[in-house]
Amino acid sequence: MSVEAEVTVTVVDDVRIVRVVGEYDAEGAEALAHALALPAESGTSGTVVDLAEVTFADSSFLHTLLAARSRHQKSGIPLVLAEVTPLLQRLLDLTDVARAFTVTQTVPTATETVHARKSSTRRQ
Amino acid sequence: MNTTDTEYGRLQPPFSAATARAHVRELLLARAPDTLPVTIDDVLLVVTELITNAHRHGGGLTAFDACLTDDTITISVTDASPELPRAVPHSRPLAPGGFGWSLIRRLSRHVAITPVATGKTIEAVIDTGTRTGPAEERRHRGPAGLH
Repeated sequence: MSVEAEVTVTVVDDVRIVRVVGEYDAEGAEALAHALALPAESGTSGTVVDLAEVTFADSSFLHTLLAARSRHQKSGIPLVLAEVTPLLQRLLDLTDVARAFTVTQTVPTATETVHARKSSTRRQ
Repeated sequence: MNTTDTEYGRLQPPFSAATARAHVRELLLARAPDTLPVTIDDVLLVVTELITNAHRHGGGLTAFDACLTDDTITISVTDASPELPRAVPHSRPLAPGGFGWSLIRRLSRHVAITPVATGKTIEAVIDTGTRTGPAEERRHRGPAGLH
């Protein structure tokens, strides 16, 4: 049976880790969008989206990720996807949006990527 | 399941996309147990996109049916609008909107739209036989690298 959709946000070393669990369609998109929204107060180095436990995702899930990516880009804050499952990879490939995202295999690698991006931005 | 199930694949609206997914998954597991997991995912994606379209752009879902043959499943969704679905223009591939219909077209062997008195019926025919084409290659390619 379906796994209840659940999004949890934790902050580790200034990086927001958004862990997404369960099935996502249009009904769950709002909760996901809320969790992926940038906090009003700055100080976040970036966002990592942990997708390891997504059991179903549709085009609304993709739209939510793309909207979050766009907002992060505008604010100059990195957004990195981690642990993309075969199901999600297929969705990204079918819609040809895989190239829009930075993807890493694990959450720690994603966190390192965020820190590396942030420090390279500071140097510029 | 708390919805009326008069025939194998028929569901009486209203119901959520999640209910329809559970229903079609059960149908495939029971009556087409050789269907590959990736194919089941594809079918459930088409089911979801069709239902979401009916709710968002079709004035509401009025009928739903899933019909199996030896090597296909046909998902039929009827909504309350005669307007035809649209895909996102190629000029703006990353703009929000339009992915749903593209996915339905991409994953189906055949899509037919039939006007009915109260709106339209969209039938998507999806292959359930063992697949060895590009879709399988895509699935095993793994995550994209760092950019």
